[in-house]
Amino acid sequence: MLPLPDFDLHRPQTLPEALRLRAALPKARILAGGTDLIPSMKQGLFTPQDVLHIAGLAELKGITVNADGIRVGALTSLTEMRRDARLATLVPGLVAACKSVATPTLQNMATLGGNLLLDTRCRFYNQSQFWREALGGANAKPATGCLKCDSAGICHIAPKGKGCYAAHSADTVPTLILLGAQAELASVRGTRRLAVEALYGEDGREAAPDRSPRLLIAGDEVLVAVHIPTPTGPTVHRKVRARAAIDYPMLLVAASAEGVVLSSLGPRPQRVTGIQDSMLDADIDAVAQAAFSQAFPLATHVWASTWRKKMVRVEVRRALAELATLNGDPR
Amino acid sequence: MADPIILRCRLNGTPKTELIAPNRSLLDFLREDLGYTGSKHGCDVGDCGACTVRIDGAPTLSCITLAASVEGKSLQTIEGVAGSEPTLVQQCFHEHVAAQCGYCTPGIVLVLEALFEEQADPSEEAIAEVLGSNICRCTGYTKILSAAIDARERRNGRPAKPPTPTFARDL
Repeated sequence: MLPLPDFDLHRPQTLPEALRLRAALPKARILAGGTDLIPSMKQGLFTPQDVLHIAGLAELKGITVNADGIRVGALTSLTEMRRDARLATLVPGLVAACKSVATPTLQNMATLGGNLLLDTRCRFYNQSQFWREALGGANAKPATGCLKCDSAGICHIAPKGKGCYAAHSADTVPTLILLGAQAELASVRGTRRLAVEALYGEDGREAAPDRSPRLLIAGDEVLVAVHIPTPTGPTVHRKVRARAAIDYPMLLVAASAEGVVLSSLGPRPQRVTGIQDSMLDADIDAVAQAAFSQAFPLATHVWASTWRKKMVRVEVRRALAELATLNGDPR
Repeated sequence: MADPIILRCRLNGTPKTELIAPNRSLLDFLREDLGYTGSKHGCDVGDCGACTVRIDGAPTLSCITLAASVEGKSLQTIEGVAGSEPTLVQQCFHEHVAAQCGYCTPGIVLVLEALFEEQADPSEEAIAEVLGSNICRCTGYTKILSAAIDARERRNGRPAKPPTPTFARDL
């Protein structure tokens, strides 16, 4: 049995109350669906003094569609998104991404906001305390859970590198990036919007001295909603994993007329660069080759990184072929 | 220790008021505090589905849910599924021998009951998709799937799909 650490639970009922608490408790963890945070707390990766349970905030729930586009509240569950007829018509690629997350039971609990802010994952980090201690000896303190951050400084992924390459594993994010989605962030100071693409820093760790942190949002901000402009064409989502359920991705590929985004290869999603402006008349082999040459997966997953790199070419080709079919292109 | 909090919810139709620690998981609350041991302790980190309960109808993993978060909600555990007679899903599981060690069975019965409430006549793919929520290491899922399909046929007034004989003596 993995016990949860001791903490004080705060349950705000309105957004202003939640923002005041967030500002007063900058080290608190925000709990929404809990599908990522609670397992990590059980594994001893986080031991917060305070937990801010925001599931009661009605302002953060629901989907609205109008002439400006789509607004999905951060606490909207992935199941609600899957069942929404408007989303199925407007953004089927995003609905497919929601459907590919874990399992239907977990989709009932998991929220869109939680998926955007999902922690990065590494096979040496997302393990029980017992497992990590066995590997790292006495140095694997529960304070960080990361063998590289602890005093021994052992990293089995990038032994010589300074950075953390834990994999960004949020299924909905590559598709949201291609849709030009924006995150609405609120704090006691006000509200701002940030492109989903700009949420993520270059390091997989939360506290990364002298590198950009994992999430580029301020300590007092709460993710309130995701805004998606009315899409002009289809988006394709592809996920590589060992089993058809439960597993986190070992490679994500999203493609639309706007371009191709890869994820789960490093700490943040990456756009494939140096390709044509539009994927509608793209040379599929050339784009797949460009994606392959820009992908540098490390051994963050149990499956071989060389195989994951090869799968980038395969999956980009498949995604573009699927996109061409959706666009009525006979290729 | 953080101060205990009062939790009010309905469990299998009965109102409950209990004092709990803020870090009590719903699974520990059900099993240790209330003695409802039908929900099982499996992986403890939200992978396996053995701890599935229904919160306001939706299947949820109780091992990664805080007991405090079900305040004012309605819970159903496997103990609250059957009336005086087993449900059709339970009856089909029995006839198809769809449980071996039985550890995953409560969770699987709950996700199937929820599926049938939501969709009267789900496709085989839809059944297989929700079964992906629950890990079974004994049966290989064949008998679970055949029991679920039999339940679907019978609840829609179609002829039963009896279990395939497993042993030579049954042939």
